[in-house]
Amino acid sequence: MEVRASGLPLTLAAVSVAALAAGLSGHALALGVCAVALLVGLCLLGLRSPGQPSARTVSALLAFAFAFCALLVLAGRLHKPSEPVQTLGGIPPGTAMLLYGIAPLGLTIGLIYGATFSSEVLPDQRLRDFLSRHAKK
Amino acid sequence: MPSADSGLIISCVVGYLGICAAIGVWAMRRTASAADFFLAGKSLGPMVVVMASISSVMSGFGFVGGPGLVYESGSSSLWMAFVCAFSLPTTYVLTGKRLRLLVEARPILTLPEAVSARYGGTLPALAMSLAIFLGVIGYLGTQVLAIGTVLQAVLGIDLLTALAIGLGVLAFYSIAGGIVAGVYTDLFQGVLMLGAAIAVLAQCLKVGGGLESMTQTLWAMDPEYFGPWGTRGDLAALSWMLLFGLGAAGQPHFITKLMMLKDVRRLRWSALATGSSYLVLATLWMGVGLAMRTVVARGDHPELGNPDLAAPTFLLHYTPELLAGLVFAGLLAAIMSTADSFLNLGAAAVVRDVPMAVLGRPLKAELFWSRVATGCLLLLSTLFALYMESLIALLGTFGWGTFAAAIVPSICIGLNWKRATGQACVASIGTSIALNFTLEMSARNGLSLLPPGLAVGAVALLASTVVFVLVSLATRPRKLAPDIDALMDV
Repeated sequence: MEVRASGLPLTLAAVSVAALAAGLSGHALALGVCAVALLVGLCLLGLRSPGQPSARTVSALLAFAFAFCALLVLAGRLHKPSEPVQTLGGIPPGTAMLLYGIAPLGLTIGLIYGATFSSEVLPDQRLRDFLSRHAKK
Repeated sequence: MPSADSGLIISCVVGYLGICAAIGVWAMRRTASAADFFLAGKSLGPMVVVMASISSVMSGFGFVGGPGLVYESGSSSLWMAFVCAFSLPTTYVLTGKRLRLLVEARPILTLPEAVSARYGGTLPALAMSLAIFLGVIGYLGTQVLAIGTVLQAVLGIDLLTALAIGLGVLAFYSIAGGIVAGVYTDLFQGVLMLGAAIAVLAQCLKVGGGLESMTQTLWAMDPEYFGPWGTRGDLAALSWMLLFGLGAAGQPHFITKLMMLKDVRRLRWSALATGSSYLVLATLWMGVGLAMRTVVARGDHPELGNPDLAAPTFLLHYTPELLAGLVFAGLLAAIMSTADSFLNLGAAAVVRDVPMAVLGRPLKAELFWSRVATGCLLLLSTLFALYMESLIALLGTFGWGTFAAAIVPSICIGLNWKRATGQACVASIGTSIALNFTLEMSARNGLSLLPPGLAVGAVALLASTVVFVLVSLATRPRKLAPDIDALMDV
């Protein structure tokens, strides 16, 4: 039980080691992918309560991570400094992956939090139980 | 050095300083206890919390330092600004309900008290107090530099005089009103800047001749500048993404705002509102820096002597007077309200957290000593700012990294993992402080121990996370108090 409960923090530590190795060896894209993995891992840790998060929430977070990593890779691939500039929405395509892709995609985390708040993050019954037993009088 | 000769701009700024003083007087009447001084009596609605959060995170760092860093190195720092769309909501996920409910269960006003409740013992709370104190001194320097730069530009006065005026008003309302003054100034400033950011972005596009035209100019100047990574390269950009994407949850001036919310259920859509509002403000960070670089690249404006002057210069030369006046007022509000938050945190560390950890009780006449400590911190950070020489945003990055590496493991992971231990908390905070200061100081003295571009704060955050998890697993966890145990299951 304890090992299972510590699985996610251990994974976070392992990904942190990988990120350190990537950064110190100058592999920027690998560092970026590790950062996305850490972000999703931390979200899963924060959303974890008995029985939570649901499979639907986990799927949404994994889809977010996949899209994020794809945009990171595209940002690098679409940057061609030796060629005349092409634009996407008025800006270089690589930069567009950040401004038009990653930035709005990031709002997914807030959307997931809001959409699952009553059912998973803080159901009314759990809140009432906690307050009735532990709130200061 | 640009300076304002417009009566309208100066009137807006002076008018704003008057409003700040008025808020200080009003807040002083609402501040009757230490709980009011540190947590605004836990009485804030979601709108105030959202606005206060984005204002304090953006601060002088983003409004003045951000455009300066974009002006200097193009897209690199956009990886700091735009990742806040997810990093700020992630903070709600990690700490929102647990910190807010902790305040329901225990008489907690500060983060070290939260650490003490979670881990027990004296050392974890002391270590957290030390980290916050050091971070406050460093990060407050960012705000002090920013306030000097803005007032110097607007009033055309020397730096010392500018600092004296700005800090005089700041001292009055933060000493008088504590965090109540800060959050309501944040609200005023946040609303003002959200509107102004859109207007300024439109002005940036107009001055630059549209996005397409700006891109052509900047690409001809240097294809890397407006490429995805900017001139500092991919390692700098993506290590900043890591530091700012994960590190927001370790910013005490942000997460303590979540403890002030009146009703925990109002967290629900606050996360999304915080992320999306910040995105709007981030356009100002980007737009001003790019527009200023564009006019310089076209030869329409001489090269700036200091990149940090990008925002004041653009506002004074390329923005309608009324808009410039409003934005300058907003800039000052951002800087001063954030400085107020830091003064509040620092005062709490000195007056409340250390005595609680060592003596087991707060000082007598706590409110009085909080105000004295606030004044002393103000003087200390001013001396620090005058001593340091760095771009505003880079100094801010150092402060951000110090907080992130110390607080993310011990608070964000620790409140969500029962196996975490007090020894791990102390070890990770020690690691974060040692790495941040050693790597930063060695780099400043010409001995860089990291690959070029790799952010010191990112390395410290990763290392402190590893130390936290491994030491937790290697040491024996204490039995949690029933309320803390229940809190971590909610």
